[in-house]
Amino acid sequence: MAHAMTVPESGHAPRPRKAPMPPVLRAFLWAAIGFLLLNTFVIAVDPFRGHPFVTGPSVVFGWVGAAIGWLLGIGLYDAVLLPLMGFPTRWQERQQGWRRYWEFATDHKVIGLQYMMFAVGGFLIAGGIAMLMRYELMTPYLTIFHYPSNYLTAVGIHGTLMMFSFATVFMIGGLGNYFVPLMIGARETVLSKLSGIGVWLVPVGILTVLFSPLLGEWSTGWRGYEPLAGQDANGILFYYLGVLALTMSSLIVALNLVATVMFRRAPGLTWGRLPLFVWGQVTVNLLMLIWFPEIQTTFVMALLDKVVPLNFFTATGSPLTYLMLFWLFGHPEVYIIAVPAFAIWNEIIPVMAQKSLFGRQWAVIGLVFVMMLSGLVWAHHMFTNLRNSEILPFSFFTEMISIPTGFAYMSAIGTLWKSKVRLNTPMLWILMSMFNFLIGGLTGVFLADPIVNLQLHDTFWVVGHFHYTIIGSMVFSGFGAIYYWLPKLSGRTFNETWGKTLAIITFLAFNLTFSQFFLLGLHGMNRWVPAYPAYLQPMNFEVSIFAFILGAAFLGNILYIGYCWRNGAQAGENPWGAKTPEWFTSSPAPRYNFPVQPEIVGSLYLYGEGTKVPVVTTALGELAATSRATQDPQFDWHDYAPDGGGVTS
Amino acid sequence: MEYESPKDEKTPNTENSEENQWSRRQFLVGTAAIGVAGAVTLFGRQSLVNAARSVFGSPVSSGTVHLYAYDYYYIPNYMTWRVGDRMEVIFQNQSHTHWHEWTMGRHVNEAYFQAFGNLPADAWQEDFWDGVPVTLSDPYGIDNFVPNQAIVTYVGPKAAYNIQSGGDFSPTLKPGGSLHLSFTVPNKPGLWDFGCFVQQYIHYRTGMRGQVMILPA
Repeated sequence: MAHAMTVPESGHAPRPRKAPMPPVLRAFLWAAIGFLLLNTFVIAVDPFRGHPFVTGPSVVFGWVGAAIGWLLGIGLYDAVLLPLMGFPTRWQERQQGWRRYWEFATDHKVIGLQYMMFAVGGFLIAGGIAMLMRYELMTPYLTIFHYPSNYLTAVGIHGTLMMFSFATVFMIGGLGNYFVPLMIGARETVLSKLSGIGVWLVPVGILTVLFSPLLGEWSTGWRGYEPLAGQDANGILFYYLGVLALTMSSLIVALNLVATVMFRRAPGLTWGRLPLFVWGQVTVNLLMLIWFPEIQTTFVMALLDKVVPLNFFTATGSPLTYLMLFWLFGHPEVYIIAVPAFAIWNEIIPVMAQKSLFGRQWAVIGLVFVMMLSGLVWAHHMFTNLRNSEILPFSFFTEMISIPTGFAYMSAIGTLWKSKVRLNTPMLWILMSMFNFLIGGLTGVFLADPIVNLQLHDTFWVVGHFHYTIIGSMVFSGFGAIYYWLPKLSGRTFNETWGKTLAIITFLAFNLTFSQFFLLGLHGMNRWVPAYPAYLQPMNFEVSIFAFILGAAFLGNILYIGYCWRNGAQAGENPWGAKTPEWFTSSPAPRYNFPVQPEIVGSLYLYGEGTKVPVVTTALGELAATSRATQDPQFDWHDYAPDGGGVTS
Repeated sequence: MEYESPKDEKTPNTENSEENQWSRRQFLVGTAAIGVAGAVTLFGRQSLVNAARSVFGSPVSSGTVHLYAYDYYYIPNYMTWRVGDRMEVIFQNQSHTHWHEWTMGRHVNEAYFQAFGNLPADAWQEDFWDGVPVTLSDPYGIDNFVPNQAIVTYVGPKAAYNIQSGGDFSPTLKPGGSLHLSFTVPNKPGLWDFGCFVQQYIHYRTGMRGQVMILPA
């Protein structure tokens, strides 16, 4: 209903204009139309007995229609399709105000914040579900969930949203999109329009997975295991489709960031000088480019297994194949989540210690080798299904991977050694992250051992282990990074007492919750069960109490960061005395990041006597990789026409 | 005009000066409404459906009725019958992979649905088909049939029905199987549940269930 807006036009407007519909609402409307069109078409050509309006096949096609309608409605139609076809468009990118976060944008900083916003939304939804799970586990019998399948669906939604809409998204789509261009002195990303579209696939994925119970329960967790999924009701369809949308979004991020790092580095920013955080992003983006197409193919095959049905992974086909294909992606996925955290440790520690980064090359080599080894360990998730001869190589590589991971620790500890480190809130989060990941890593060494693994498989020990690695690395480092970059993101800062208090409460609640998971696991607490033997109740009960405190602590941090974003004290331009390029422009950075193209003239991680300021803002317009002019604020892709536009300076 | 005065030009909300402005109120109200609608669909579907049925009622089916079994739901999952009507239910298993049955009764003891406890041998405390005369015909792909206390007439050779004992009145069909059940709706008015208890009640728990409202004659 287009109600009468205040009419600010004062006569020079060429024609009266109806206030447009908010893009998000238009996207919902067009998604509903898209769904109805395709769903009805499929029902018409492929009716089921009894004529239900929504069937398995029809909902799959209807979903595709809804996703297309959603993207068109959010801005694909006005901003991309119309210009592409040569039609005039009213679309104009908004340069300021809160509205630009709720529509299609091409500014990587807006897109980065959109990713963070959606990721935090996914985190809060999935975290809320975790609270329900812990409430259920306070008693050894079913309470708030009526049947085990309801509980399993909740576990599945929790895991899927946490992995694909938060852990993979926050640091890469969010912080990566925001900071990678800034840190390499770029003025925008290469595929900015594609990136602006890709971010809107995240809400598609979150809502699809969240509403999967409408189609029925599914029991497979975040892994969609076949042939178990063959036993599931149609809810599993929305798992495949939702994850398809989420991984597609992350794939676009990876493509865009790798291309940006390759082609848009500032002059002087050689690969040897590339910031650690950017190295972390490049390595995980390569991992995503390799493995996401693989898992998307697998999910499409599983989807066809269900709706056609074909028999790729069912008992008629090969049940173990799905497990192999899933974990081929699944273990690199763990490092896609963790490697940016390793990178951020060594980004923040030298700044807070004001001491040169120790063994910088080794820190980078560690990231790259973790990336490469991560593709060789997948079968350790399936030791119970393998023979000893097949287990051993995977056990070997799994234990090997702790060596390059150790390089990240070595650089961090080497930098901290004899330094006068400022133990402020970001630093505290980073140290907590390193401690938690150490616990996660050490318990992982136990799991890499086949004999122990066969005992601990599917117990809470494993659940404790991966929560320590994922939350311990990614979430704690993520909070560290947000507190570190808050002055950059908002121009404002936080109160150290509040920041540290919240960090310490979160750390204690986290450890009190998840360290007891190891004990529960050793005592025989199984995963995937809402009802368990009564002797495990006391510990489960108190674990749940700590889990609720942890949930409240995370929420408290998010609210406090939001408060400081708007109301915090004004921060200085470079409050931590960092040397990476993102601090050499105003906070928050203007539309094209730097008033002129900066040049990198020294190492970004050297501190102490005789070191120089590494970033200078020269008048040169050349990039490290290209010689295209980018100084023009009206810059667009036409400048990249083969004749070059002739504007190189 | 008033709004051209310099005072109004300096409106504090700088957003309003931008082109292509969409309404903040529409955005907030619209997304909140979609959120509420989403929550209701996710958690309150059944209550909505029940409320609609109690207001608008539901058409009485008689004569030939198709009952299809899929994984894991029935179409239809709600029917209204009237006492004394002559019915022929054609029960068909449409699943490509799963065995499905049709049982009907009242009161499942759900306390038994636990990982560490007993599963009940007889699912319904009260079997709808107790003492009901029913004629079975056109058996195809029958895995087994348990008559329990029903008074059953079999059309054709009995071997095709694979008659077994134990448990409720329950025709269990192989994938693609079908069976015709002809009967006069007995004088048992009220709300009856039906469901599929195959695979240790997993089908039932996953949502393979429905209801029949029987109206007095």
